Amino acid sequence: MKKSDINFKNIKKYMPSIVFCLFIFIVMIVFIISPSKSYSATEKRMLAEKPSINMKNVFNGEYGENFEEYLSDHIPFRNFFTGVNAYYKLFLGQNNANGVYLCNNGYIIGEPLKYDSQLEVNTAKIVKFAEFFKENFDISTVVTVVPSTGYIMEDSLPSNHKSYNDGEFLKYIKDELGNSAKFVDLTDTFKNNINNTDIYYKTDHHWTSAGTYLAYCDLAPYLNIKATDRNNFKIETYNDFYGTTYGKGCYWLQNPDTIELWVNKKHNDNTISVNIPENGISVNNSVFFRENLKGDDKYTVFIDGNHSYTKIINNDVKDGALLVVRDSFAHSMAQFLCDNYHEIILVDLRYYKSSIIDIVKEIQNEDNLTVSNILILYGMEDMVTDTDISSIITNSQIKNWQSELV
Amino acid sequence: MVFSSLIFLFLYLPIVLLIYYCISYKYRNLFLFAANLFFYAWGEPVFVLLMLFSTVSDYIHGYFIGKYRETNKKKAKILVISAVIINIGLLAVFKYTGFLCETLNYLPFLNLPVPSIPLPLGISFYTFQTMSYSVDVYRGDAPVQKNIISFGTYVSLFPQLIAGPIVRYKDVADQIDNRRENLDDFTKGVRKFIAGLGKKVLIANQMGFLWDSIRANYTNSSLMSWIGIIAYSFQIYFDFSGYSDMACGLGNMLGFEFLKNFNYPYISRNISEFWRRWHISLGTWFREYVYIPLGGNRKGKARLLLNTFIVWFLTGFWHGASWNFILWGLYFGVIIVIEKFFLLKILDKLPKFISHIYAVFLIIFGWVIFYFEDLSEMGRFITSMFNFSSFSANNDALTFLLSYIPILVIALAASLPLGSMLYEKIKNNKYYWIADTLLCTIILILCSASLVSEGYNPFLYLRF
Repeated sequence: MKKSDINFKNIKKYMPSIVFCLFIFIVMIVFIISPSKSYSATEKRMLAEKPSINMKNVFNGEYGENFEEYLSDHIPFRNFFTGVNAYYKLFLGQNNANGVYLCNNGYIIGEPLKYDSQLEVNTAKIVKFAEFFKENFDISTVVTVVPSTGYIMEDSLPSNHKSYNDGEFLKYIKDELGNSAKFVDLTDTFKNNINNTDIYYKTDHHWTSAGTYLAYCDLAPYLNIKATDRNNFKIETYNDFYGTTYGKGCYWLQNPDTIELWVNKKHNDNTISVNIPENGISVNNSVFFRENLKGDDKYTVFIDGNHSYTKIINNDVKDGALLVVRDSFAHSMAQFLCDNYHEIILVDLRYYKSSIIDIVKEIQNEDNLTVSNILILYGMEDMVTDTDISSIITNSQIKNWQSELV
Repeated sequence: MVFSSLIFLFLYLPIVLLIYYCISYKYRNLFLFAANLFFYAWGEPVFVLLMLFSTVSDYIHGYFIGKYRETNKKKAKILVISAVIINIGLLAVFKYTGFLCETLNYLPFLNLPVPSIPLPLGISFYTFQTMSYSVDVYRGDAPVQKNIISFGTYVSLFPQLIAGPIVRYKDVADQIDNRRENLDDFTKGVRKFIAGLGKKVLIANQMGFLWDSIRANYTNSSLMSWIGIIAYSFQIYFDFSGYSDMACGLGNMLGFEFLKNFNYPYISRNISEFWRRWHISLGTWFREYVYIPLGGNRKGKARLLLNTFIVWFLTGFWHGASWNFILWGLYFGVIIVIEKFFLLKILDKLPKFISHIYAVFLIIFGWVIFYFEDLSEMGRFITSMFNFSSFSANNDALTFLLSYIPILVIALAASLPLGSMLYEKIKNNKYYWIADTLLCTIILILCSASLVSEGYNPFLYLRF
C-alpha cells in the first residue's frame, strides 16, 4: 500500500476499508485483553471453557471446534450482537426467531410446545403412581399442570403466531387420569383473571406469586385444606428480575419484572424452617431466600430453587404432611402451602433418584404424620417433554416395597 | 476454516492482514503460503499433507513439462498425462471410491466392502487448479513457476482454496510474483467481501433454515413444497455466490484479481445462458480443458453430441459422488442440446416473461434433482410438488411461511441486478461515500450479530 494513497481528500473513498479494519481489529483486541468469564447472567448458562491444546485434539480437529465455541461464547459485545440480531429479525417479521414471541404489552412468551410422545409415557406413569398409593397407602393424588403462558394469554400474542395445544394436552391428561387421581385444570380460573392479574412473569416462563395464589385457591378443596385468605399476606416487591424468556429472546430493551413475596402476617421468625439436605442448607425463618434476590437467578428466592429434596416445616401446625412431586413451578407455591401443613416435602425427579415410597413411609413411621395427599405439580413444558417424570414409580421400587412387607 | 465464522473474521483475518502488510514484498508469498496452510489445517489437519503432495507433484511435473516442451514434445505429453492422472487419481480415490464400490455392488456376483473415506476439504477445487497449471504450461499459455513457494501459494491460496472460484493458473500467473497491493483494490475487496458475507449469512442461512424446516415438517402441502424448493434455490445461489464474492474480495485485499464466478444467473432466459452466468469458473474450465480438446463443435453433429454428453456428465459428477448429480448434469446437457438445435430460436421470438418462466422453472426443477441424493425421496418430493389436490398448508405452516415472506422478497430482489443498477446511478454523487460506508457498516454489524447468535451456519459447497 502506497503512502501517497492516503490523504484527506481520498479518505472518504476508503471509508469502507477503514470501518472494516477498525471493526475487526477492535473486536480482536478486546477479545484478547478482556478477562474470561465463566457464567453469563443474561443467558443464564455456563460459558464454554477455553480448550486445552494437545497433539491429539489438534489433529482430530476437536481443538478447532472447541475453540470456535469458546470464541462464540466470549466474543466481545456479545449482548450487543445478540440484541441487534433479535431486533433485526423482529424487523423482518420473524417474531419468534429464538423460540419466543415479543408481545406489545412487554411480555416475552415462549412459542407453542410441540406434541411429544413423552406426554403419554409421563401420564401413564402418573396413573400407575396414583393407583399404587391409593391402593396401598390410601393416599389420593392430586395432579395439576400449569398451562403455558401463550395458551392463557393468546390475546397478547402477535397476530401471526402458531397455535397453542395446551388445551388438548390438558384434556388428554384429564381423560387418562380418570378416577385414579384428581385433576385440577387451572385454565378457566386463569383465563377469567388474566385481565386483572399478572398471572405469569413478563420475562420468564414461570407464574407470578399472584398467579400461584389463584391456583392455590383452586387446589385447596381438592387437598381438603382451607386456603389462607389474601388479606393475611403482606406483599413485598422486588424489582429488576430478568427471567428465562428474556435470556432466550435477546430483546434487551424490554423492562424487567417485579417479584412479589407473599409474606404470611401470622408467621414469625420461628414458624417456618426449610431443610435442603443435599447442600446442608437449613434456614430457620421463612420459605424465602432473600439473599438470592441479589444474584442473577432471582426466581430462586423461593425455597432456593431446584433441589432434589426439600423439606419445609411449619411449627405452628401440628399435623399433616404433603408430598409434592414437582418442577420449578412449585417453588412459588411453597409460600402458600406451608401455611396448611406441618411438613411439606418437595421432590424433583430430575435430581431425586430414589424411591418415593420410602419417603412416604418415612413421613408416616418416623415423623408420625398423616399423609392424606400427594400433589403432582408441573409446568406444561416438563409434563410434555421431561423424561425424568417416568421414574416417578418403577417396578423395582414396587418389588422392593413388596419384599419388605413380607 | 470458513469465511463466515467468528474465528476467521475476528482473529485469522486481522492477524493475516496485519502481518501481510507489515512485511516486505519479498516475504509476502512465503507468509501467505504459511497462512494458507494454517487456514486449511484448522479444519483438516491431516489432509493438508494431501494438498502438499498435490502441490509438489504438480510443481515437479510443471518444471519438466516446461523443460521438454520445446525440445521433446513426446516426453512433455507423457508428463502432462501423468500430472492429470495423478490429480484425477486423487479425486477418484478420495471422492469417488465409495460411490464406485456401491455401484459395482449392483452386479449380482460382487460384494465389495464400501470404504468410508472422508472427503478432503476443497479437493475438487485444488485438483482442478493444479491440473490447469500443467496443461497451461504444456500449451505454452503460462510460464513455468520455478519457485515452489510461489507455486504453493497459488495452489493453496486461502480465499479460493475450499470453495472456488477455480482460478486457472494462466489468469493469476503474473499476479503471483508481481502483484502490487493498493488501497483502491483493498477497498473494492472490502466491499465485495462484505457483500458476499451478507449474501451468505443474512440470506443463504435464512433460506437454508426455511428449506430445512419445510422439509422436516410441511412437505405434505404442494404450496409448501414449492416454497421450500424456491428457498433452496435461493440458498444455494446466495451461499455459493456469496462465497465466491468473499473469495474475490479477499483476493483484492491481498492484491489479487480473480474472475467473476456468478453473473445474476436467475435472470437468465434459457438454460444455455444460465450456465454462462452460473459458476462461470467451472464452466470455463470444462470448456477449455475438456470440451475444446475433445473437438468441441468442430467435428460434426454426432461428435458434438458426444462431447456435450461427456462434459455434462462430468459437470454433474464433479458436484458429488452420487447418481443424482450425474442425472442433474445430464438433465442440463439434454436441455442445452435441445436449445441449441431449435428451442433457442423459438424462445427468442416469444415474449420475455415466457422465456424467463421457462428458464426459472427448469432451474428450480434442476435443484430438486440436485438436492435429493436418494432417488425415491426425490420422487416423493416431486409428487408432493405436483399433488395440487393438497395444495394449501395448515395454520402453523402458513404462520411460519408468513414470517419468511419479507426475507424471500429480499432474496428475490437481491438475485436481480437492481443493486448494481442503483450503484451505477449514484456512484458519482457527492454523498455516495456516505451511503457506501453506511451500507457496509450495517451489513457487517448484522452479519456479526447473526454469526454470534446462530450456530446455524453450514456451507453447501464444502461438500463438493
